[in-house]
Amino acid sequence: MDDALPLVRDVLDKQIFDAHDEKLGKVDGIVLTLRANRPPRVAAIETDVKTAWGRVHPALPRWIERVQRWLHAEGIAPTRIPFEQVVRTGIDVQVDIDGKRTNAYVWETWLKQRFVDRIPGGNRGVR
Amino acid sequence: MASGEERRVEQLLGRCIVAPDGSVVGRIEEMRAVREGRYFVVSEFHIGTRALLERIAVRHFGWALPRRLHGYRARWDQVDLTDPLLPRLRCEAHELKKIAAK
Amino acid sequence: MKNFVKIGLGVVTGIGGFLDVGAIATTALAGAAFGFQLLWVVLLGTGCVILLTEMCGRLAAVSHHSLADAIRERLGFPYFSIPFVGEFLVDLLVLAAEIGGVAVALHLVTGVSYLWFVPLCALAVWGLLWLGTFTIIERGVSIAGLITLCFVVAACWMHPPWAEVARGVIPSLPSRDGVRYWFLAVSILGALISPYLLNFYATGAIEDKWTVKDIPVNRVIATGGMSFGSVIALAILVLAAVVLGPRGIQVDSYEQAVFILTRPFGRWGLYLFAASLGIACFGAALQVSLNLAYVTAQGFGWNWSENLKPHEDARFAAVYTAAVLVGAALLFVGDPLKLTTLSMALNAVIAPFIVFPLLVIMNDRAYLRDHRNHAIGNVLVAGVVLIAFVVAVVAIPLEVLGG
Repeated sequence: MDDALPLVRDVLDKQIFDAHDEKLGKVDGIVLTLRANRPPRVAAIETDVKTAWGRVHPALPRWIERVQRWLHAEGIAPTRIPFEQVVRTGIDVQVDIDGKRTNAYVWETWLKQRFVDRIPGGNRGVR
Repeated sequence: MASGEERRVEQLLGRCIVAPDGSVVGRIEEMRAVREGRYFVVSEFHIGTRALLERIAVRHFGWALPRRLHGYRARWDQVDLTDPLLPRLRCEAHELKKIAAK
Repeated sequence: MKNFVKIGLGVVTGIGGFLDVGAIATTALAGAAFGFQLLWVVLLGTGCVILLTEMCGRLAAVSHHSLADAIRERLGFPYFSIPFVGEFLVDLLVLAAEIGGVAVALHLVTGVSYLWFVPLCALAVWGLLWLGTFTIIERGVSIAGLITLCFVVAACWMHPPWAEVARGVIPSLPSRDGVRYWFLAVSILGALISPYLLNFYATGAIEDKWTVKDIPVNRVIATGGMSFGSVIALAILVLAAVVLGPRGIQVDSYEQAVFILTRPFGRWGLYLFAASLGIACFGAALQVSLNLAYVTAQGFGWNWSENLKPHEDARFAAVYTAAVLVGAALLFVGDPLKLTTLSMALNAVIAPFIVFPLLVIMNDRAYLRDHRNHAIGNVLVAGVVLIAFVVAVVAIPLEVLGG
């Protein structure tokens, strides 16, 4: 039995948890870096809605960009995490970084400020 | 191929890989990586229907699968990723290791 | 005591997921049109759902991953996008039908047009989602949903010809109007084998923090909860067969379906029917809107839980808010009963894409460890996949020809 890491089976599309066990997104993409006469290096994992939908059809990321422009939220780059930060793979992927230091929560923060916190009960519910 | 260029696993997944004679060997269904120091590097590409079945691990229905289904393991140096839309083999198809039927 | 409370998940899924406006409408239609002949379809659907929910519960208890999680993670985003988009669109129609069901229930007791109640019902659904927790929703719907037992009481009270009822349990071919017969059979299966029910059950198990120790209880809950919903659905069909069929009443509106309870209970039957319809549909509306948010959040890896404040999972809260708004808006362009039968047929079309992955997932050691399916389980799931596939292929043509 070889100990090689199956990138598609054990990394791609898996739930990412940060160092505090918070959900960071799914692994929507894995970036390889080509090297002359050496095996390609697994450089990073990426989580981004455009990356995910781009796998369904190449035109979809352009449509998503248009929606983001309409919401004045264009230019949000995919969240890229160096593969060296991945500490566990399997049915989940755990990374050794604080998710709040990435741009993975940009939309979450935008919705909180523009919408959730303006509605009674958003932060002061019965729980 | 230009060193430092990026390729994406999710875009290579499912791409047909062609032999030097232009024949289609199969589709890339899995990529395996091994540790090299603090990094991981791609060691193998798994190609063909058996590679797909190995990845999704279909159990109990193996008896229903025809033995002629094919699957190959290609080393990283046997695959040319210069064109990400059309990966090519650097060797003949018969030089690839086969994925055994279970 | 804890296990007894856990049964709440089974009952709430049974009421909201199994016994919803779709099941009420399709079984009433079936009983009015074909007497007891379609009872076997309800039993077939029940068997399929018990099998599937048990597997979804086991998946969640062992792996702490929902069905939507596992479909994306094992089969990839391109495959996941198909049931995701399909389920999202169909669930919006179902949600509209459920909110409509609650509004119709209020219309039945007040006489005021149901459209006036739509914004109120939508606000009530959204308010409970915004301010409540999964536990409150689960227990509240379970307890309130017990009122639907009035259908069972009424069915027994009417003394149906039990020999004919027993014959209806055996599959039979229609003696007349074959297209409509099979359309109703497909609609019943589409109403019962609801994709949203499966993911909601699995997610609910995660919300309730099930573990491997809950696997035996899961079997009881899946069987008991779905059987509870099934018994109510069977009772509705029997009542429609006894009360509506002999009078030639075809159920073109919910006002006609009310007769199935006013006949045995008089005026109280109206209030009981309205309460049952309203509570079942309210529970289903909560489930469907939550499931829309669950599937989206789980598919994209966002933070999610109905037990968190909206501030802690803003994207999740935004999805169910938008869903309730769209669902309510759809009622101003479509009739609730028509929306119901359309959504049930479309449910049947997307079901195979959600059921088929179970063949892969339930055999995955990484997810299920020592609790993977045995060979018999796989054969049964394969059978359900085949049924779902056949139903999916014929659903739309039958909707056009017989609906």
